Amino acid sequence: MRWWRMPLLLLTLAATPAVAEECAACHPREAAAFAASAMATAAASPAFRDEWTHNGRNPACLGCHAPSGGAGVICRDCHDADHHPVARLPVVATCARCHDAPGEVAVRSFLAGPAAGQGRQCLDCHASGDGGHGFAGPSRPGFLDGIARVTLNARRAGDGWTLVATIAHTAGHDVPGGTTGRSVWLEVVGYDGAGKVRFRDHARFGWVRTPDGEWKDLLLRVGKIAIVEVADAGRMGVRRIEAALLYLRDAGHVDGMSNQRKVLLDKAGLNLPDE
Amino acid sequence: MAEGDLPRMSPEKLAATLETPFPPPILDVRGGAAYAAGSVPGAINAGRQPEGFLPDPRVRRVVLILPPEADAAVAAAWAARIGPDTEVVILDGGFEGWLARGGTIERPGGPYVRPGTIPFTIPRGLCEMNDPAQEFR
Repeated sequence: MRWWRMPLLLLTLAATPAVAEECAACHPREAAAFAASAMATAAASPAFRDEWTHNGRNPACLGCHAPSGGAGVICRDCHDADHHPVARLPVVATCARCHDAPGEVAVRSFLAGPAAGQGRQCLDCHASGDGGHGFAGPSRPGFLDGIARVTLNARRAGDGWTLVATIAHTAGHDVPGGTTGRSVWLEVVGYDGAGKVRFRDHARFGWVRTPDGEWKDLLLRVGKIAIVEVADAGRMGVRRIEAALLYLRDAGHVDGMSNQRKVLLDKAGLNLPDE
Repeated sequence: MAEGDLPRMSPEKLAATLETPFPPPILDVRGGAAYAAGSVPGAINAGRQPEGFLPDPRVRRVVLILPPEADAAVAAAWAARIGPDTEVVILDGGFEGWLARGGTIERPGGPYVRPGTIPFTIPRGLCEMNDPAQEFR
């Protein structure tokens, strides 16, 4: 960041609490819960600042990250503060203003999935904290607990075995939601009889951009079971297969991701017979 | 179809089960060619031979899609292979029954990439997309 922009940024960030205090005077629990959420600092997080700067500081990004300026989203960005008491929000449509954004299909996939038909809505999972204004997501410890399940089976294929893994999840939308850099990886590791790693195989679910510039949303579909096959899983003397399903909160390869930025969703193991 | 004393599940019940969190694995044992032409959504190709299948030891209930010609002995062989601790349920009417009920089908191929097999870019964030979003008003 250029040195002369820093005071302007600090001045802008400092303006946010004053706006929030208007609501906090009468809604202290909701204000406190929201202040601790990622949305409250959506424009101030290091990840956003880096990416925004990298992309030429496009003001359109602030339309969701800080619609009213400041460090992030504030009360009136969702609630009509000019007409108090404010009307109850149409939750899904309100979330869709930003969570049906370029590169994010959370709301669209939710509407197309079974959860919407069952009368569920975003806050059934994402509301947290006092007054339900904490807006929990994958960064909240425990938020992803029990959300996905892996099974491992194998079938004969010639002289070898083909591993067949299934992945099911209970999220109300395609996974991962959120921004395009997040992903879910199925890591399959083959061990020989001595416990030595003989191969690692990966399948990645997330957005990708192919060399021809095409974007593909290769996500774990809502209400669907994903199937991953690994051919010749018994190669090089492999006698045990272990699979881990990992949620990565940042863009990047699973091997380079710190443990703080990835969450184990489920794991499974399968022994191959001695032959 | 004669599948012995194994419990059965109607196509309607299976369709409802697929809407529940973590439905039981569905094993399509009609063979690779039939599976490749389309199967029940989420079903896996378990091969045709029970002795050529290794089941997940954690699973306690599976649904079998048998070939039309399968008899009770075939069903029993699959149940024995899957193990005494796992409930094996037969899809009533097989895949043909599923189709007759109007069930949807899926073909193999998942929405994922294998890193190292094709070149691709992992995007840094949604602002790189620049495509119009669906509008909600």
